[in-house]
Amino acid sequence: MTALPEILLVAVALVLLGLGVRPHCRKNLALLAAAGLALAAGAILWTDASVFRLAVVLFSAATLALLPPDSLRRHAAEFFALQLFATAGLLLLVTAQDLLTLFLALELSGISFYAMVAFEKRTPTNAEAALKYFLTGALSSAILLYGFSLLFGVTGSLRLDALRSAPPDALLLAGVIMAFCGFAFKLAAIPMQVWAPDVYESTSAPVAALLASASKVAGVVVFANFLPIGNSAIQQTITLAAVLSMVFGNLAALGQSNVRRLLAYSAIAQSGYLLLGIASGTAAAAVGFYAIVYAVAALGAFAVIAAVESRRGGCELADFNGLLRGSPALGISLAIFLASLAGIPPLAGFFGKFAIFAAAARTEGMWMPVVAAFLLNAISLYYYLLVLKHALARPGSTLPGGRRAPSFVAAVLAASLLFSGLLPDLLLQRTTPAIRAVQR
Amino acid sequence: MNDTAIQLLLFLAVALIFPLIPLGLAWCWQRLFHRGTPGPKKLATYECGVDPQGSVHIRFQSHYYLYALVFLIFDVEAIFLIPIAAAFTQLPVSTLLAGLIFLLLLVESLLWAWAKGILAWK
Repeated sequence: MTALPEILLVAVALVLLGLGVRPHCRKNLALLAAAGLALAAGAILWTDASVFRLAVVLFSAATLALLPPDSLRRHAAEFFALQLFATAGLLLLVTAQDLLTLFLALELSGISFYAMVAFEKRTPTNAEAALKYFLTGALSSAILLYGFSLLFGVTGSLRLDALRSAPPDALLLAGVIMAFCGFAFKLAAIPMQVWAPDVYESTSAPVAALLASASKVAGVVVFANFLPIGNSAIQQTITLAAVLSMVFGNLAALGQSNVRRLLAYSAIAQSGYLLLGIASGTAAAAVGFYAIVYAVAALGAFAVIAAVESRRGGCELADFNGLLRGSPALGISLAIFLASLAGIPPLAGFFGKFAIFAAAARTEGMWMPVVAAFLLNAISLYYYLLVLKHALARPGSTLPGGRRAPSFVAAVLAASLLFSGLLPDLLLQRTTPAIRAVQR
Repeated sequence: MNDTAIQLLLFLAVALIFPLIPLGLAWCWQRLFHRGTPGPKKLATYECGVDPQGSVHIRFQSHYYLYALVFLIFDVEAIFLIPIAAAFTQLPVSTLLAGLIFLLLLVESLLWAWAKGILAWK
């Protein structure tokens, strides 16, 4: 019964769709969605207690608290149903063991996300972002499916373990690289990164947070499970994509004045670090650890953004002025999130990056990309600290009061980041068997 | 380079050449026979050879896509029900139940569309 959490999520989503026929109070619908996620979390603990599945469900639950109060005047039930469908798809993605399930899970989460990104379709910027997201997604799905057909041709099996033990072959290489396009879309890595800045900038905070956290974790885990290791040509290709993502993301983030866009480019750069770890083949546990830690920090940053937007109405750098004075909890949380993203020592982000770089550097022929990653990470300090300069040092107008929920989510996430930074073993011990169990 | 690599390269070459031939022919035709004489007749909207009527820039209502989406429900239903129907007498009860759950899901989506007023022509 390992599929119990997914079944529960889909059942609650169908109930929500049924309720959506008549107008209902948005709060009750959100509570029902939260109850569904709680049920799924319970079912995960009861069945396999996979840390990645638990993380996906918890991230999805946290984004429920970020909804702006004036959003979703119409079709609220459908929005929550879509969120539960997307969560179920991501859960399936984490555990998928054959190509067909993997593709179905990818599409279930993908189609739900297309609709969620396009939810405020009357706003022109949102419509543009949704169209970019959809077109990139459709293209990457098509390429991925073509790659899967080649892989099926090589191995004669849909199982992932058959793929992992397949002998190195030019056709295998072509299939894996084409399939990589589909995963790169989920990760917002080069070559499928075009959607990220627009979508992060103009969708509602919960959708952007969900894309940055749960979707990313599931994408990383499924790609780490999928990639056949020990094939040097595949390794080199993925490393190339990783280095390009790091270079592009870090350099493009330098010139951003909108914090959401900045986070989008930072997400591209961060997926480069994660891909580097996956390509090295020996850093699976570190990659899992860092994926979760990154997702917590990104989700927390979006919680702070949601709080700032509800108070100041925007998220340009200037809107963060005087955040620490106006709301110390928000300011300190933001500092913790960005420092963890940048990889500053006492925080979990440092241990994740350190573990990935250390494992990758020990792999043959990978020292140059690792050096590049180090240097680019130093560059990334500039733009993370730029946001912090505005939030902590610049004086600003008084901060009006706003909703409590995003601040609460931010505080909890910041505390967990600090905790897992001081005791990384607690999480690392759980990501190691989780990745190995899937790879067996 | 092994055999599959060569096959793959051949495949890639065919994939590139196939669309390039008509494009190249069109380009040659344009170089050899083209007379650059744009005029109101030549630039007019192509309407199956008849004189065009009215402006091209009209608003096109695409309500019909909703019906196409709802039609998908029946379409998918038919595809998945045919195998069940073909092997109906040999099926265990569990498969029948799974098929019924699948039908229920599709029926719910149709009912949802109906209740949301999508089936009413606007």
